[in-house]
Amino acid sequence: MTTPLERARAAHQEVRTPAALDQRVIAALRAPHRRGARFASWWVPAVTSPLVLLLWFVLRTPLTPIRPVLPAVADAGPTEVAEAPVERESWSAADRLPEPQINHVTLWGPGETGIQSLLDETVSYGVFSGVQVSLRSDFATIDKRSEQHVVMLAGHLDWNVRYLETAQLTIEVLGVIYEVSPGRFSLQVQPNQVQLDVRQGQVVVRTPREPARTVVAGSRFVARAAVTPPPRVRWTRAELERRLEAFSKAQQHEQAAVFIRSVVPQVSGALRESLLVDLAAIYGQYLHDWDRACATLSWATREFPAGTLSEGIAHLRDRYRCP
Amino acid sequence: MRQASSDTIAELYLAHKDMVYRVCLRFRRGDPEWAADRMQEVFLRLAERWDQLPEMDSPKAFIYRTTMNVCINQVRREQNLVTLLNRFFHKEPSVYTAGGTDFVQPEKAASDAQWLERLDGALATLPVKQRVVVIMYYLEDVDIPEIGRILHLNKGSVSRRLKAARKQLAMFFGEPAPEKD
Repeated sequence: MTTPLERARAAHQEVRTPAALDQRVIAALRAPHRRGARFASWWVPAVTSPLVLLLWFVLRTPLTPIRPVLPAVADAGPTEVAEAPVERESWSAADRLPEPQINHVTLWGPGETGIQSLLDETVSYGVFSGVQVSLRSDFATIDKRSEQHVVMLAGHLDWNVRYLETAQLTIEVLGVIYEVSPGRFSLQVQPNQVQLDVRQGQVVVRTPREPARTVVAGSRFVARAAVTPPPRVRWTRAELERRLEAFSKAQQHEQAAVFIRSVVPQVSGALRESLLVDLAAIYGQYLHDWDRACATLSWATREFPAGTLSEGIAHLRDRYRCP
Repeated sequence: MRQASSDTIAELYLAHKDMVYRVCLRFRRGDPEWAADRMQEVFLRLAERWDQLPEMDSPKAFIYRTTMNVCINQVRREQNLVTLLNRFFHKEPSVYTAGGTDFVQPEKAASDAQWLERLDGALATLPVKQRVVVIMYYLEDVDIPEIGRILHLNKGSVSRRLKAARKQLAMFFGEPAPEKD
């Protein structure tokens, strides 16, 4: 039989930190200056009292006039002013990136690879060897395969690439290779084409059928016929349920979320809506990442405003206290 | 002071935040704002003392100890003022009792809130030293030797405090709190 204390304990142990509090505490931890007194309060009078006495003693004595003594100005001619030496910032792969804002997401840490999805106007940082990439997207799925090679699988991405040391980053989108220079550009994947808009810097593009060409700032490149989209797996609901159940049994919730994110771009309709809800539930219920859960629910609402699961989505939004 | 790695602190934060938050809630009758302030204070202290962390026996024990100290200090600081004001206005402090944000059905949330309210009422009657050991022993399932190690007390002191607290809790729960050991 459950005693009252056990019931109270069960209720107590189900208490979780609100998502807004997480943001607040993490922001406080990232703030450069910690609050709190560095000196005990008795130090203040102990230090200031002698200073005040000294100041009083100095001021009460009459000040003698000060006669300025200036050296004669010599005709030395023009003087060359040397510029202060500029120290270049050294960087290595082990260094951390500049501290991202609170709503920024780090997609890959140093040495990490794998598929990641960006949702809902996320600004994300990716770490490559010697290259800092900041990404902004409504929706995109990208696969970092090595430190120099990233494959964009779907979506629309704004890239801002900055080289921190001599390195080479290659981006592949549906078979088209982009060797990128520092600068800003966007890549958009559509059913039969990939479109590149360069806003700053330049990008060298190589397609399987054409020689390399340079796309400079202000111009656009559209690859059509050369592009062969990767073969799509035909996912069925039964197959997906079987896979997700296997993840669930093995308690591999992180892997389940990665799997769903990679499958979502390949399915449509009710199955896609259902997968988005599953993804949000995994983020919220198992990974306790309410920001991503809410972002996924917003994505589902935007894509399926009157979908069959809209009631469930609204329920989850309430439950996760989504803004 | 070496700049603490906020990533690693963030990892510790993610691992222990729920524990810190709910312990702080129980300290002050479920007041969520109060618990949030204390929780922030705990992790800022952790960041400030990051250099000492490798020498510590375990970060969890340090977090527990800091949580308890932060809560006790704040409760004591407020007690003087609150007691004074209560005497003046003849008013009891209110009960807040915040539940969690996790995924509970409305009926269950209502039931949880009811139990937590009873629990908070009982805990509020205990002196802070007893409240600490009750929260750790009965609510956080920390055993007596571990409580002694975390709070730098001997087992006898912990047991005595628990024994004294049990009598008080029995008045609220209608039966004596069970002895687990």
